[in-house]
Amino acid sequence: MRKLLSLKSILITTLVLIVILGSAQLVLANELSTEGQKIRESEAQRCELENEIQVLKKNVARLGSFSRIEEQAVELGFKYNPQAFEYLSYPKLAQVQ
Amino acid sequence: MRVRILLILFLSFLILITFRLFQLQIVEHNKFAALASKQHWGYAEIPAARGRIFSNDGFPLVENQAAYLVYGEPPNVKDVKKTSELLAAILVEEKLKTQNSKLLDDYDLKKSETQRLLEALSQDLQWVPLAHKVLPETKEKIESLGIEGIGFEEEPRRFYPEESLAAHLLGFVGSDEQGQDQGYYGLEGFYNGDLRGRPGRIVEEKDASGQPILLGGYKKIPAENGRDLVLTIDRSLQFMVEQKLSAAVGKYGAESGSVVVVEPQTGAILALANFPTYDPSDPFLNTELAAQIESAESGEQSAKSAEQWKNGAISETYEPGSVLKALMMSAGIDTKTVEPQTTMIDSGPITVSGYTIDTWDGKHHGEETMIEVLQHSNNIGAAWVGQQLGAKTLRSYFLRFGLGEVLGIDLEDEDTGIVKELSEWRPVDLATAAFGQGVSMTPLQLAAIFSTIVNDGKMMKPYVVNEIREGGRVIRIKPKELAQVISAKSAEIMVEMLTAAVEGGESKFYNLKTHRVAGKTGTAQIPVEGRYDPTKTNATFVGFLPSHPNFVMLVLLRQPSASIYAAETAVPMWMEITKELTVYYGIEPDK
Repeated sequence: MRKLLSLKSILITTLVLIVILGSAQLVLANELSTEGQKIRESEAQRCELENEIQVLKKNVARLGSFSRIEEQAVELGFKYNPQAFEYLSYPKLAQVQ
Repeated sequence: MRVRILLILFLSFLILITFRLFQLQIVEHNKFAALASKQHWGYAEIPAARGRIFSNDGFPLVENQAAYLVYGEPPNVKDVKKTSELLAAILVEEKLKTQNSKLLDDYDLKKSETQRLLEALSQDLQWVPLAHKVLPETKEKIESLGIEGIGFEEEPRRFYPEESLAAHLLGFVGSDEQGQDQGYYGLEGFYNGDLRGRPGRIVEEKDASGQPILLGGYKKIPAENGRDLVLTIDRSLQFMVEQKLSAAVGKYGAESGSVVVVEPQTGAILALANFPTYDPSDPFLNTELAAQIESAESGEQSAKSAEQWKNGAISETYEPGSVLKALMMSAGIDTKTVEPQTTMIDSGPITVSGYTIDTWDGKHHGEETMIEVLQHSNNIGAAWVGQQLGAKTLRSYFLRFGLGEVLGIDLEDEDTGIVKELSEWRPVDLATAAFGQGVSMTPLQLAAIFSTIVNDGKMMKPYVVNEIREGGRVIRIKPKELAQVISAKSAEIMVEMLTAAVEGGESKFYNLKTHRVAGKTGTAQIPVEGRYDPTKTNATFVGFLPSHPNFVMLVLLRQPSASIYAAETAVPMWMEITKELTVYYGIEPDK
């Protein structure tokens, strides 16, 4: 009788252990796959952001180009004429000041 | 008996299975392991971003932008004809937007593009590339069609914020035989190894349907991006020089032109321009080459295309003419053969080996000092100095000043120029070489001669890249002295003589009213079929400001039709640029 009981308890303990370990494995696998999914999503997001940065850099560079600045300056009525430069000698500069 | 037979059969079958298993798992293990790995593991390439190129103010002259390779999987494409037509319409639309649409026939392009796609998708292949480096908006348009069997891969392309600025310096990116990005010409060609980087890889385990297994094996080898280059080029200067050059080529009716601005103390190139130029984002297309698009796209590089990509300032040699008298006189002064006040008699044309040598204007001034020889750009005077020096000495100075070999600038396709072997020098060669005929060089070599004179006789190696950046590491390129060509004293005398040459020379009417200028003109006839064509000339002026020698500038106009004389073409252009440079650098007047 005692022998039977001990066999039964071993069987139950083993079953419980199997169920616990199985559940733990299931939870762990689920956690891992969720985290894996998150990592993939973050990586995709990072790629997207990197592409956006590239596009922004491109736009900044395009806006800072001389040809565009010159175009804008002309539109705004700026004029550049190096012939019209007057060199101020020190006495002249003193007079201006 | 029956049992025994059954047992034998069973055993034979077992042996057969064991043998087969042995064959599959032991003998052919490697083969099947590889096949399984191919099935289980997916490989994806992570493209390396090509290095960027910055001007000396940190502004990007070359950037990268997102772009895609469009590919097809023919077995998955249901209607090849319809797919080809739809794709062609979108791809041609992008082409027309990015290229000069006036030059292209919309209908013909669509037709040929459809045909090309049709042929590609009709092939008995699993995967075919259909279009390279398409823009993200084009990709979105194609995606919105929802065509089956069409996919995309990242394939970044170059973007030039300043458009064609410094195109000949930068070079461009095309493809090599394997379809990989490859730099051609200029910096892209010279620094291709540094710029291209190394692509990375993602290796991951896949399931039966080809999807990645989330808990499966995964290995990422990150891409090593290409190194960035920071140039010595001053963007403002480059922009201004290019504008002036293009205007001057038009104004003086020249075939082409080049400008080189060098910092003599270091050899740093501050600006280098050629005109006509090209668009590096679409090197196969310019106004003259519209007709060649098809052949260019199919990879046949026409000679004319290659010609327009050549950097005339370093790859094209020419006979410089009188501007080389500066070198001849430097040799005379350095060897103490002559002094600035040494005189010679010019009483008329001279005959050497049966050839008549005369002055460019037919005028003869009798007794002339060496200063006057330079001021009048007197060929007879130059020939006289050449004869005093002798062929061996003059040639040795040509070589010391770097002629006949490359200077070693960090740009692709530098030419050496030609200096004849000493044994080939006849008396007439000595006389003509002294005034710049019979010897050829690149505009850069000519600018380097004057830089050497300005820099106390020390010749510096010309360079364009100031820094190479790799992640956080910065490699600075230090200026390199090539040789002490002439003594500092000789160089000082030459600066004075060249100043006098401009002040009292043929170009004096165009001289700056605010600043003293030193330099020398060169009007060189062009050798055609063994003789010089008197109607065609190349006009050169190389000069600097003696009181602020922080730049040497060469201006070359090839075959100007407005005037054959450099004093009336290259000189006014040089003065115009310098006028702006004095303002830009804040150089005070010294007159």
